[in-house]
Amino acid sequence: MSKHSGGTYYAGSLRHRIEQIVSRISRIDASEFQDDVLIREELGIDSLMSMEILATCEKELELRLDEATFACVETVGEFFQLLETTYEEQKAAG
Amino acid sequence: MRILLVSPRGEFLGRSRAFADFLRNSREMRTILHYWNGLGAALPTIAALTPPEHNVSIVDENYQTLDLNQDADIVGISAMTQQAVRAYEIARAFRQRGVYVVLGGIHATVAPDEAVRNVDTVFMGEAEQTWPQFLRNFQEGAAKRVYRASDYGPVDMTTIPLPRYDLLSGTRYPVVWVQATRGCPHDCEFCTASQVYGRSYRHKSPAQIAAEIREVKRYWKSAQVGFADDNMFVNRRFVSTLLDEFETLPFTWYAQSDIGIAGDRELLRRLHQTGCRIIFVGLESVVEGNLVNLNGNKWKARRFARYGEHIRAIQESGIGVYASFIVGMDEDDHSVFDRTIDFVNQHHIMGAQVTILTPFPGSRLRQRLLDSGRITSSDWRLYTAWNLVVSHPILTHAEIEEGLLRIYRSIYSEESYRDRARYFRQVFQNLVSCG
Repeated sequence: MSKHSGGTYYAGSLRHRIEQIVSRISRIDASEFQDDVLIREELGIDSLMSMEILATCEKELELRLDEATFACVETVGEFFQLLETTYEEQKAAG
Repeated sequence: MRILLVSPRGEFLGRSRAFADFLRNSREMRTILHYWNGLGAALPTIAALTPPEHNVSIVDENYQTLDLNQDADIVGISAMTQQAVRAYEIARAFRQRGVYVVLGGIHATVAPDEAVRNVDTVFMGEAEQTWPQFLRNFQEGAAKRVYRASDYGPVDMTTIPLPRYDLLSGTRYPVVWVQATRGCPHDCEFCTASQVYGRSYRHKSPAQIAAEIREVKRYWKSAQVGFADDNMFVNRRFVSTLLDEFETLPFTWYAQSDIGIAGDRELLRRLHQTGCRIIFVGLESVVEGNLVNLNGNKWKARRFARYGEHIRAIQESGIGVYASFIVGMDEDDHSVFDRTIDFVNQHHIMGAQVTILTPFPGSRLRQRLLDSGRITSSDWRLYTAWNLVVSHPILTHAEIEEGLLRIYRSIYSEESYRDRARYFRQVFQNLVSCG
């Protein structure tokens, strides 16, 4: 799956689904999720909100994620990329 | 008239070098400090109360540069105690050029005799009624030295106009503090809130508050909204209507409350559903004896035994508790630092603000410590609640400073962060599975 940068996404894509989850929890419109936006300082997604996002991704995308996932990313683009990569790796591993 | 409103530069932390080093090197503390200040509603509200024929501007010295040679007919300053010294410097510079300077805010309210020696006019308490009156008097050449809100009666908050956020729209604030209610029923010994707002509990209308939030989001899309109210959820009927308004507002928010909300599961559910993510709660101390004389009705002391249970109830609703504790209280001994660390870590408290007991002017605490000769400094620049300005019956200055640093190093360590992350992950897994 290709990485999109702040444009429009085809419905049903993994990134689109992750965006919907993040938007629902953060109550931020998905159009704000530009790749270069700082996830904490600019979007205000703190460590607490990130745990809610991870738990929801686990449930809705059947994605297993480490608590440290959020700690090592700075931007929206890095965050989505990490989730997409993890998803692909776990899918490939069965 | 040209009216310049100023929020003076202030120190908001302590002067300990070791603590400053810690802050620089702690990623989590850097994030917390990023959201420390922000924009308060006071000066934008004063601007909105100013008739449109006047030209109003605002300079927030904590984010902007103030030109002391700027032209103005009136300079209005709002200051907390730790900003007072800078407020007087600014006043002196403008008054030397013949500019009329007025001072309001918490410090002028609780220390009017000092303030009136440094400015032309002092405002005590809420300014919604006194500011327009002052402007009329000033234009008639009959401005008074002191305007007391108590001479006018409590402000009906539903009449407060939409704050002029547009005047600061060019400044990038990480958090904007909105005021929805005024008053707190607890009257704690160290707190001056009841001196400023009185004991009666009042609020703006839900529609009015929603309009303010829309205005904030219009200018600062990514800013967090914090409610500056001392105790936001006292009037549950009002809160229920307010949350109805919040249902359709796309924002997340923080608020301050007493621990009493923990018993209302439905309220907690609705708070999370409408975007409340963090609640600041003044737990004050892990030493029960400190709470006994805090307020007349021993409200906090009576809940002390259930603090842990209450924290769990709030956090299991998906709302993080940001607890505030004070060290250096009279009943503290050398164990208070470890006990605070253990309490925060044991209950997986999302965040904690631990400060040093500070006798702010206007508080009953200050009078008690003055009477017993325990105040060691009245340099207001040190009154940030992070510097020791009193003597303690047992603990030395160095022990308190080192103990405070030890608390922060522990509760914001990588290990504690990981522990809290695991805890909240489990909380949200439970909430998600329950639908």
